[in-house]
Amino acid sequence: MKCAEVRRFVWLYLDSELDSKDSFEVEQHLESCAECAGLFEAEKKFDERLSGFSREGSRTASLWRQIESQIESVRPIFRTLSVFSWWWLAAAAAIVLLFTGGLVWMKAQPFDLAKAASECHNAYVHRLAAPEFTGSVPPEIEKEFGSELDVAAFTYKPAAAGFRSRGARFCHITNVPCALIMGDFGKVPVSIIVFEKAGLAHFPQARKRLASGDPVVCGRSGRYHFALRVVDSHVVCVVAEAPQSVVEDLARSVTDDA
Amino acid sequence: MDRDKHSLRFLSLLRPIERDLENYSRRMVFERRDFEDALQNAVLRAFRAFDRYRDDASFRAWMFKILTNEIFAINRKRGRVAEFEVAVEPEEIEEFAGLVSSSAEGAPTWEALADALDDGLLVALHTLNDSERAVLLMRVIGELRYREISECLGVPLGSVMGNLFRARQKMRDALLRARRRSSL
Repeated sequence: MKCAEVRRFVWLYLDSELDSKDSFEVEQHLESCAECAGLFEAEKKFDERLSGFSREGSRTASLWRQIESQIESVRPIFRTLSVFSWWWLAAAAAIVLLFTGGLVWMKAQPFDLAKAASECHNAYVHRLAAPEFTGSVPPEIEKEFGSELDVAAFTYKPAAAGFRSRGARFCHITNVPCALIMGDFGKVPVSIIVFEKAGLAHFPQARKRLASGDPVVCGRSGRYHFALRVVDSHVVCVVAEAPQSVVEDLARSVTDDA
Repeated sequence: MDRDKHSLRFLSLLRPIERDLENYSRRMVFERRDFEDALQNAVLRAFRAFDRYRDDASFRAWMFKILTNEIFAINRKRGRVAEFEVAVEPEEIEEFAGLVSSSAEGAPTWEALADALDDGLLVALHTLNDSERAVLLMRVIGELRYREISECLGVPLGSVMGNLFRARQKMRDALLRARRRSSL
């Protein structure tokens, strides 16, 4: 090895990072080169000085006593979380996750009436169901369905300005006879589904929510929002693809037009 | 493993390196008062993770890694890492050395000279950035191998060597400057 090469290795050599072959060659060179040996010696002294300075602080006994006592206090947690406990912990976490996931899933599901009302409104929006009459219920319809549904169900409509009725028709939702009043609020199609309170027996979830005390029960099914309330002896459900607050206001404004 | 044995084994590995860990922490933190917090947090963190410690790994290197992470986090929290790097001006290094030559008798004593050089080193240490300082102190205090330092800091071996070279260069310059001024 030549001087330049050896000097490149100075710190690798002093830090014992050279392999045995290179290390041996460096030592051989230093034995025969006083100049390089002097340089290595100077660097070594500098490193010793630096090391001595960096390590000169003494161990603070009180600090380490405090740390060791904290280690003691950690021990009970360790004991609780032994290998077997980790399995129990994992099992408990899985149960909690399943339970929470189930709750979230259930909450995300639209309740019975909402789903049926949305399907009904969807038929109106896509022109699969059109109004059969406007104004008062024609005698022939009253004659045909009057025994199933009180014709007063057709007299409900939102008092909100901007709502325009396009007509109504008789229909069944989950075997419950209903008045389906179709209209627009601005340019947004709106369905108002009205049935007698007794029909709630077919929609236990809707009945439960109405019984909880909320004057208006709101929710969402797909892209439609709906709002549900009891007016006199009827249940009125407003469905539209509009913000929840708009649909809720429409439901609140529903009155018996008769 | 029994919990008593667990903590006894941890302490038996920890005690021989406590002094080195303390010195490292003192030299690394930006705010002097943080060194105890850094040590406590690191040791407790290490103890909690001791189940995962592999016997074939160096306990010393493992502890230095945990402590370094803790110190970096504390220094970052102080939000003054960048200032730390430029907080000490070269004039301040000279000022320390100048204290010796301006002593009443005119000629510095050996003790005063040594103090001045150490002060110079201390100030120079604070001119290093976090990475340079960590690499240098892991080497000179922790006596870690380059590869261990590289693993501790998660940087390539070349970066360790580069940082170590630059750190030593800066420290040597500071030492020479202090020695020159003190001999005036």
